[in-house]
Amino acid sequence: MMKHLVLALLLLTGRFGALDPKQKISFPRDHGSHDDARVEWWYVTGQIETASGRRLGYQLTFFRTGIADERKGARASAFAARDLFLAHFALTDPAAGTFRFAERMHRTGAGAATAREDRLDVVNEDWRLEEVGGRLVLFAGDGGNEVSLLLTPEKPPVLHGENGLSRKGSERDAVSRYVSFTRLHSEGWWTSGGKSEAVTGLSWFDHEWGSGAIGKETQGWDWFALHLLDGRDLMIYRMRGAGGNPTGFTSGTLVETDGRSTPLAARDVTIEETSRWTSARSGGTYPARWLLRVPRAGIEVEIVPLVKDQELVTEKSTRVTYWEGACDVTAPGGGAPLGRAYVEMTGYAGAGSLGAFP
Amino acid sequence: MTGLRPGFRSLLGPLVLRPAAKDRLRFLLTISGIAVGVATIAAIRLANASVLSSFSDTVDFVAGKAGVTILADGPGIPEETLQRLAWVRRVGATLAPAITETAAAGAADGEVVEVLGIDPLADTAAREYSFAEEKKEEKIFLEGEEGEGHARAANLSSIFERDSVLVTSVFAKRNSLRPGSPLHLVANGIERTFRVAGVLHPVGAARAASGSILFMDLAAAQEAFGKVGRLDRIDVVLPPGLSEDDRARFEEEIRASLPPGTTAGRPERRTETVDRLVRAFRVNLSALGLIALLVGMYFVYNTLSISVLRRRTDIGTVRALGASKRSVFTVFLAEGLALGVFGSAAGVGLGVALAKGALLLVGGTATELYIPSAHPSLHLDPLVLLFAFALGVATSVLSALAPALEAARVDPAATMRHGSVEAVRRRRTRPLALTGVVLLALAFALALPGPVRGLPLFGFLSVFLIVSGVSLLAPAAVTFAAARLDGPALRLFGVEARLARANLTGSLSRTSVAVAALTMALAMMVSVAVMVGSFRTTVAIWVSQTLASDLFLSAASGKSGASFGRIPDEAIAVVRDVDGVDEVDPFLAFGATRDGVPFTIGSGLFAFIAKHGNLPLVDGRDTRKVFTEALGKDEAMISEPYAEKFRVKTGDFVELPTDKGPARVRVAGIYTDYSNDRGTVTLDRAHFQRLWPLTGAVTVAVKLKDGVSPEEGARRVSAALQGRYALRVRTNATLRRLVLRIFDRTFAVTYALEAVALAVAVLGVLNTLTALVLERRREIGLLRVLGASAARVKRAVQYEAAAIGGLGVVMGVLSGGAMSLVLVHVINRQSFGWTIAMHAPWGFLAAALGLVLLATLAAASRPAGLAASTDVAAALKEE
Repeated sequence: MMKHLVLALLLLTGRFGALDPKQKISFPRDHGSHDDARVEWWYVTGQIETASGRRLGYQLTFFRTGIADERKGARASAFAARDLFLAHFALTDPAAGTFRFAERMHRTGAGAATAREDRLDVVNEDWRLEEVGGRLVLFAGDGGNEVSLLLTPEKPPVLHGENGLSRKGSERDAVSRYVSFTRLHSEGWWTSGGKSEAVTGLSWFDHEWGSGAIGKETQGWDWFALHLLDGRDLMIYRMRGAGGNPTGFTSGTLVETDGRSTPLAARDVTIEETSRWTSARSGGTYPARWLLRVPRAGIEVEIVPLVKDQELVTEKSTRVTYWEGACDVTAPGGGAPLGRAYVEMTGYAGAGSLGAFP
Repeated sequence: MTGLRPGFRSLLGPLVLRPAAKDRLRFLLTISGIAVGVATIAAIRLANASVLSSFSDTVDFVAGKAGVTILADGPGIPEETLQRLAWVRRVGATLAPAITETAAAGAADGEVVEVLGIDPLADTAAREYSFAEEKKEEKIFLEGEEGEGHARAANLSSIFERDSVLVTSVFAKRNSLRPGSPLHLVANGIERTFRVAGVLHPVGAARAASGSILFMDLAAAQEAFGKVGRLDRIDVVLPPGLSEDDRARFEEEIRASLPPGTTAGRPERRTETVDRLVRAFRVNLSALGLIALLVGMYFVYNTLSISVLRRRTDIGTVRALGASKRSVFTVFLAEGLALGVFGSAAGVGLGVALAKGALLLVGGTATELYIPSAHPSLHLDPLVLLFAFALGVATSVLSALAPALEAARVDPAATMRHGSVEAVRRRRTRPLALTGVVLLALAFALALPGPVRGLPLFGFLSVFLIVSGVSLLAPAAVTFAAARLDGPALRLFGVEARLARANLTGSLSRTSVAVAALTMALAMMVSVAVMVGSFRTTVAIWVSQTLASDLFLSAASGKSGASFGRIPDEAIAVVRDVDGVDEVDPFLAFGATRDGVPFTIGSGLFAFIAKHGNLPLVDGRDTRKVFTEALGKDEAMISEPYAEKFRVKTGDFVELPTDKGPARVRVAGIYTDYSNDRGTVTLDRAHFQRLWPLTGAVTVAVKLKDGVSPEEGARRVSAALQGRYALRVRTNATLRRLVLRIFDRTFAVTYALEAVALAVAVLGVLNTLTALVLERRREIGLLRVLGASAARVKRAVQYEAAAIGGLGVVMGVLSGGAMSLVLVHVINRQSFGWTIAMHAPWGFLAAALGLVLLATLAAASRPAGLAASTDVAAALKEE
């Protein structure tokens, strides 16, 4: 009895609460920041091309992690570190065979990073992702390599799982809210070494938030986001446990050309690793080629990274070592091109390589 | 033939080494004279350099890798400034904002520590931190839950946890702290308990303030020290590889982004400010050291002159044997050099030992006045030691010049004739005296001009001219006094007095040197005693006038007694409501700079001062009236040091830095203030708070209702504050005592120096008399043969000592009086801006002068004994 009372009090006074499954998601509010969620991120990945056909992959991630379990206004100082704002930006240039990334970390109040609550507008120094009139405006740069893009959704936002509730483990609170714009027409500019070129392409936006854990048994995960040439989009994540075996929490969403989405369960998906790559930097060995099948949807594809080394060792921010890279999607055996993809893999480079949510 | 001429080397033995071996005592005295001068200079410079270097180290360690530091010329930098500066990140620079505070550890009077409130995420770019415990790589940011089974190792982000601080290993050891230990800190009158989250190695920022520094989160520091919305500094780490031009341009653009009242510059400029603060103090002490060295110079001159006189026969002989004038000159110069080298070497050694003591004094004074948390440690700067050594050697060689020249001029044929040199000396008495008079006139003229770059250089020059002028008058004074000894004195003291008189004038060159040395030392003592005494009396009168309230409250004050931090408004309200409290007057102030020169902006309740009239004005106008008018017109009152330093008069306007640009305020009047030599611009509290967003008070004066005793009032106020605020409550009497105690401690250095100089002068008398007795062995022997008793011979020497001592005292008092005028009205005024009324400490002076006379007589007992015990037969055999 006493214990319940204390728990109830904690729930009343604390900032972070468990997600309410009945809570309806509504936009544009829910594209914004959720103060009662301990962890939240906004993820944009995409592949763009210059007029001359030069291809680039980019990833821009804004993290917010709540570190003070206090309600707003509990502290007088504007610097009171309620949240840390972290951000990663990576650029893959397959023609040059290069992959470079930058990271940032700031606290509340330092004037360097913010996340609005009423709509999508996340800022970390001069990196920014903002919703303007139903489109997303993105800017990021690293040492003279900048992308400035206008992203137009070609399909409505997708709520993954049940009403956007995505389960990551067996624990009661191992769930998060997960919504996406799976297909964003992208146009804008890529600037490198002082020279700007117009670019166009396709991007994918993920937004995920929650306060829970990722499941005790979890050691890492793999995440696939595919833009198929036939107009369909496919998202699959697979949580891995000890020895790299799936924990059973594998899930996905198939988005049809018209925007309708179908949840996929573990039994709907098979993933076969056909090659491996070892990082000289972290010593981690990652899968480097996959055969992905979703028989229900008639999908059987091979996924091939554009550049082998697309590993991020984020010592200055999240301290997570992970692989996040642009890939080609082809028919199995190196056949005809079927689409493009971004793949994320965590937990391959030792204990220090694990984050919270995918 | 030239090969047989005695050269420099062959002369060393007979002319220097042998006499030195024979007169070990005299040479030792000479060496110690130089040593004392050199030691004093070395000690003061070492102590000063150590204080400054400990401060500049702290500045460097805190600034870390910052290329530009932004500071505010007021109560802090508005935190929005960070937004204005966001652009610097785009070009690869990092902004490290910080709060700086001073707190007392444990209790209101505990160890003083600097507190640096930092953003752990940005700070590593600017400052280095190294953890004393084993540091494990870990991920903390994206984890929902902590890892199990192993405790979390400390890192910089540990201070994100509430009430966490990082301490240095030095501080942890001193206060027996470990990770997890509670740490009580008193700041701004409030005691808070923090938890030690980690211990830092003495690396980087942890070396600042000699380890008396702790680190907490920026937000926690803003809240704990009442600085919400403000920052104390922003360190900008520039992108690597900037050229000097680019750096300057960068700094210029940063400056352009700053709000008014905020400045950007290289971090080192803070050291320059402190250097300026302690400069007047240091220069004054160094001047005293120079006087000590001057006394040492007289020693060398004295010793060598006597050597030359005593060895005239030897010199004549070696010259007759073919030694050149030049060789003789070189030999005596070499003797001066040798004396200088030995004396200076000993002086440097002694200086290092003295510096430890001087450091406590200079360090104590400087830190109490300016940097409450500094624990300066002695830093043996080889350049300082070399300088003191070179100065000692140079002055010795310089003082040896005249005797060496005299030695070279010795006519071999004339060495058999006695008294010829003294005859020359006597003839020179008049021109010397004339030069002395000219120097004194010059000294008067030099006391008139103003300071040079804030330093009273002409004043010091004037003091030195007085010293040199008076010493040039010494031979004339001795002759004059000896002439007066005829008649009554002779009848009274008999034949011994006649002997003494004859000796005084007969050995004029030596006796006048002894008189001059004693005069100088006494002049220095008298003048400094008069200056310090006048100052002390003036301050004591001022304190009793201005400390009109019954109780005084201050925030944490640390062990040293220097107060810092602010008393919150809530605490002032509590005090106001205490039964028996009639009125409270909160004093609120912060430091600012004008053209890089620091001053204070303060505020009080003008109505309170207008009612009690307790702050005397420089021009003698009615305090009540002037403050009432200033209150009505929003005008400022300035302190006398401010008026002096910045040449501001009543009716002028002063510009005060605020967030919204400079505020122009008219000066309504100038009040006397001996509490702060930086100078203060004081506004009424309401006016002040309209200009700056500051609350609370640095000190609060409390007037009690009639019939409530200060002790009873203090008890009630303390009881009301108990458990809520940690303030110091002092009664009027306690504070007065404290002020004078701090005053005395500040001037303790000067007392020590005076004692040293006096000891040197008394030794000088001993030195001279010994030389005279030794030289007169033949005469004494003759006297004894002629029937003079040992007692009479002894008494003759004592009379001579008394005459030298008496002359020294009279001349010392006269010249000391003149010097004290210069010290009080020129040097002190120009250094600190204080008007001091002359108050001679008669009792002290009488006692000191009497003691000197007695010491001179006591010093004479040895040479007198020597004279009495002269072996008559041996003395006569020398003939």
